Amino acid sequence: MYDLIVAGASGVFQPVTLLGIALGVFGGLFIGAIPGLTSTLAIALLVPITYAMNINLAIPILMGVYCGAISAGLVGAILLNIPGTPASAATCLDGFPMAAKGQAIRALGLGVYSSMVGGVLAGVTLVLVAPLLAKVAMSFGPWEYFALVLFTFTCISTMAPPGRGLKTFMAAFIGLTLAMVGLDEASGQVRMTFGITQLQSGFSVLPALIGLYAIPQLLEDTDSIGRQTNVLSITYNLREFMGTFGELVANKWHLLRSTVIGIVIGILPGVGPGLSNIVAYGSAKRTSKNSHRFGQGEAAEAVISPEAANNASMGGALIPMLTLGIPGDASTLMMLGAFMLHGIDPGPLLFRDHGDLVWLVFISYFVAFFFCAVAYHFFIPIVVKAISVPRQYVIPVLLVLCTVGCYALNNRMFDVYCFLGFGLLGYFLQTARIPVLPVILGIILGPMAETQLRLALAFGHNSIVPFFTRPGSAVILIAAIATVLIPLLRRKKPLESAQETMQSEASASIDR
Amino acid sequence: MRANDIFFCVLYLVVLGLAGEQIADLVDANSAVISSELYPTLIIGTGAAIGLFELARTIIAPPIKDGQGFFQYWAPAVAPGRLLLLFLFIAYLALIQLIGFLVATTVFCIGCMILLTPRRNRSLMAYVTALIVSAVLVGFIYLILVVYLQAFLP
Repeated sequence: MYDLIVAGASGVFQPVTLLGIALGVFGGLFIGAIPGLTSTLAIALLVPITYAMNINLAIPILMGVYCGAISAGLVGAILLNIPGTPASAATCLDGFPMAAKGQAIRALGLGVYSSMVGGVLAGVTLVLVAPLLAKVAMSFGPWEYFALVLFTFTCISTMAPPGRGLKTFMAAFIGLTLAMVGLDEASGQVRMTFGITQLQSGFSVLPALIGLYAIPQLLEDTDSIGRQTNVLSITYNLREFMGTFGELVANKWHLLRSTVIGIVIGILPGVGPGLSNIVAYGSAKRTSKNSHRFGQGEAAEAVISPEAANNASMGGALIPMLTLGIPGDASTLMMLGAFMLHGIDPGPLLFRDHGDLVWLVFISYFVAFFFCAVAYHFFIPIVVKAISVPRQYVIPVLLVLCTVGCYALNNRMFDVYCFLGFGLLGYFLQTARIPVLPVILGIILGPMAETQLRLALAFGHNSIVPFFTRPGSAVILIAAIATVLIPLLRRKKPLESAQETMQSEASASIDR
Repeated sequence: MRANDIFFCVLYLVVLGLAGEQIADLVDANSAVISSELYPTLIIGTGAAIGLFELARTIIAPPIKDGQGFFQYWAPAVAPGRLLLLFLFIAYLALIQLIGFLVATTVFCIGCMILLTPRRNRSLMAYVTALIVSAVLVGFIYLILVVYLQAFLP
């Protein structure tokens, strides 16, 4: 293992790679700070551009962007009351009121330090847990992998708003259907091409991902053009900023609990920082002695908890992505796309065959957080400026970069047209209030599901019994069923209790 | 909300129907262990069953009173700014083939930045900024892709 660590470190500690990570962090901070532009978009923009690079440079740059963009969401949340990314939605609740009371540096300091600590602790968990999980996953057969795909879809449907769970499944089936377009490698026949020759090789994954994410978001962003933004002004003071670390230490239990929440939610497939920050905020409010001060911008733990959780989710989300090839959230989904683009399939075999690459990811993760911390200490006024960049200058630039990126993948305009087509599909789904993430998961996991199902049936002599008799597969399937049933039962309980209350009230009124 | 959901369900079923019509042409070789129709049929069949169930559930369930009709839901999707950007982007993709990437990108960026800027803010400064940003972007793309990465431009 020592030689793998050295190989990974020697890949990262090259001047060009370090510069790449630093630039990635700055780029991520800039994009993440602009409300509406997410870490997913930031990675999506960069993935095709890194295609021509060596993977030892491409992955560290993407890690830099990932870390920078997720943590930058707090700037918009604190100074503008609009989260830069969904991962900082809960930070608005106390971060902005704190800043409005003239304590913007305190709020930023608490947010930044908790982000860094949460992210680094999650990174340590990643380093410790991922190799162990990969060892377990080495014993997985096609039955377990197919069950894992099912589990991923049930997980996202659970996170859907009440009454929208089935629509989430429908979105996943759209993705799975789109993934079937093109050549069926097993039978050598083409499927669903409608006679279009270019479709015989199927849809390229990245134009689809970028289109589904970028176009709807950029179109929606045009609404904020010309709108007056009231950014709170700050007078930056490094000593005051660093002084907030003491408050962080005083709230260490909130910090640790939120980090654990973030890691656990990050590990769940398809769910990431967007949820963990809200759960961590709620948990901090329930357990804090100062719960009555939440929402007033006074309690430090109200800023610490969501920020520690959202960055911790990053490390958590990388665990299933690296060990099982199943993305933990939308951003790691893009990272997965980047790995696939370079001919690397994340999964347990990655740890066996490309251990140096795994350590490259681990080390570049920590280096990215280091650069992130440096950037926040010395360049925070510049990051703050990113919030007020007029959107009309950002949108066309991002659209052009997406176009160039999609073209550069295969040097064909067809991919650019696919990018537009998928963008329109994403825009339609977004307007119809249908989540886009399941579509993307369907496109990414569809081929894996098909291959594993085929193998499972072939090995099992066309029998589905091994799905239920193999312990690993059975446990995952039970977990998948539980993720669907538990929320249904929980929802039913209040209904039943409400009915009971109504019945008792009715009987009481009859008695009267 | 209900009309919106019904609209989505119907469209979804039509798309799956079209996909189903395409997989009907698949044939199996005699040596095939697993039928080539199995997975597509499973996906499209299950997807259609879920779609039909959701459609029925949406029709039967009492409507959610959120004060938004079908057109209120879709009105933001056709906001002038969004449509303008979409139109400009489609025109840009068409222009790339006609006048080349570098010129088309410059025209698209300048056009977008100026047309998306609210009329009251269209000063000389806005025009100059649009020009500078576009020139820097095109230069950056050329340097990174053509000079550094030696990739092709559209």
